Amino acid sequence: MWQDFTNAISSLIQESGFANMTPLHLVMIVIACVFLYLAIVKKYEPLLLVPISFGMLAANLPLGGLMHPELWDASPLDFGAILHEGGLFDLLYLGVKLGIYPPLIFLGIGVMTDFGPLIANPKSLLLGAAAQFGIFGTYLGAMALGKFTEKQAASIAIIGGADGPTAIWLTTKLAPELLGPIALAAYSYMALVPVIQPPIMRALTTKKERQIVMEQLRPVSKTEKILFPIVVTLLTVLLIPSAAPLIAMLMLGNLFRESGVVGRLSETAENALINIVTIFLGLTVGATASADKLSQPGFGIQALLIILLGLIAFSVGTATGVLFGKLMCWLTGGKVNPLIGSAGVSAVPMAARVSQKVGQEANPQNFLLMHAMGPNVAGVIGSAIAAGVLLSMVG
Amino acid sequence: MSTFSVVLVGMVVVFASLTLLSLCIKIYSAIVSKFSNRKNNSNNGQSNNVQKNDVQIKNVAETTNVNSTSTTQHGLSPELIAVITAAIAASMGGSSADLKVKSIKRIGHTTPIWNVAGRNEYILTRL
Repeated sequence: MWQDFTNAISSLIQESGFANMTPLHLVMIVIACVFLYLAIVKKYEPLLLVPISFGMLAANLPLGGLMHPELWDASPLDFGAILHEGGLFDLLYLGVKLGIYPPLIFLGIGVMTDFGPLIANPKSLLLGAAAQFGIFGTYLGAMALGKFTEKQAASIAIIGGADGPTAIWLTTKLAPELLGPIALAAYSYMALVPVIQPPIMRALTTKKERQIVMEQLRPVSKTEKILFPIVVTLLTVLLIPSAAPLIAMLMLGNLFRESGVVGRLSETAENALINIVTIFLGLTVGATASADKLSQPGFGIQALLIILLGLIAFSVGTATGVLFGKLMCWLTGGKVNPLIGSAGVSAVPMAARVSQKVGQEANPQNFLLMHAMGPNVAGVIGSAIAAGVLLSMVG
Repeated sequence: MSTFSVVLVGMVVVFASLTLLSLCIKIYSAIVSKFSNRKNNSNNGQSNNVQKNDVQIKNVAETTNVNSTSTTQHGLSPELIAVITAAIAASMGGSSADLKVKSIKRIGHTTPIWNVAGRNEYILTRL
């Protein structure tokens, strides 16, 4: 009797997660807890980091069976096996793998974005383009290091686009094995925009330039706002077809907003839908950062390099944006404040707020926010185009 | 494809497509504003005729300093003049028909600096 009892207890213990825990699992759980701390206490992009880090925590508990990385490493993918043997996170991860979630998030972003400042000052599109130098500069750097393949380098470089969904979308298509660290780096740096950008902005501009007060933007008519998503979709998708999923959904969302006739759809897209998709995306992206990956030779160094290259991508993007702003300032005879250039790295609306705050430090009477929103939303379009270009050239 | 050509082609394509987009926005904005101006002009033409017949200016109130050249230099729009006239009429409690605006001139900043600082602080908390 006693023997049976102890046997039952010991087999239960042996089948439990505690007995199967390896040091690597522990490391991943500690990393997940650090990210949870950053999200909850430091409030770094909590809406994304909480699901991402909890997904990481749950997927790294041994025998939980929520995620099976081995099913996703098979080449070609056996979708039958995933459907039959996959856990909850495996099934939800299908939305990431098939590129469904990022465009749906873009739909919600489209509804929330006012492209008015961009239509009022179309030149700000060029600032959005200049900030994409960060992406291509980092691609160059990642290739020069010799530790990454072309596809991996392109996925790391897109962190410089400061656009989480775009980074996830491109990485699942080019280098899914790096999805965890790239998504974490992209979202962490987006939260760190107010820390990373101001020193670069101050270093590259003079006080006189930062004090420039820009002319008020002209009002934009409703017709122009309705035409904008249609024109952008037509032009961009015809030019770069590989950017179609992101651009088309972003612009559909914006058309929902501006047309004013589909209030129910836009309300769903900007609230319920984007929140549901964010939960699924965050959980499953976090779950891809599994302990098995950490045990692969060289993965730890790769993850560290990704974090470093991500920072470089952000900094280069900010610097080229500000430098292009200086060029526009010079060309227009001092009518453009170069600080709005840094907002070209997307990270809506954080980067535009940073331009506003740095501008107001130099001149308390200055209001750059709406001027910075132009390059800011242009950066979203720019990074989606850059992702499409990278996909068609490297993929 | 070599690394440098990916970078070069990538940047050129991103710049070219966004430049093209900015040109397209400019063009269609110009077309839209032309159409809306034409519409406005036809509406304004009708209302001007009505005003000429109906409005009689009774009293002339001096509102601001006389400086007609600065008004034309700054190119104040009729809408802005109408808004300022209406605001003065509302604050003086009369009808705008009793006013004659001779000039509108921007005066220097008179708000105390502490008020400005307080306002800015309030705006920053809302950002």
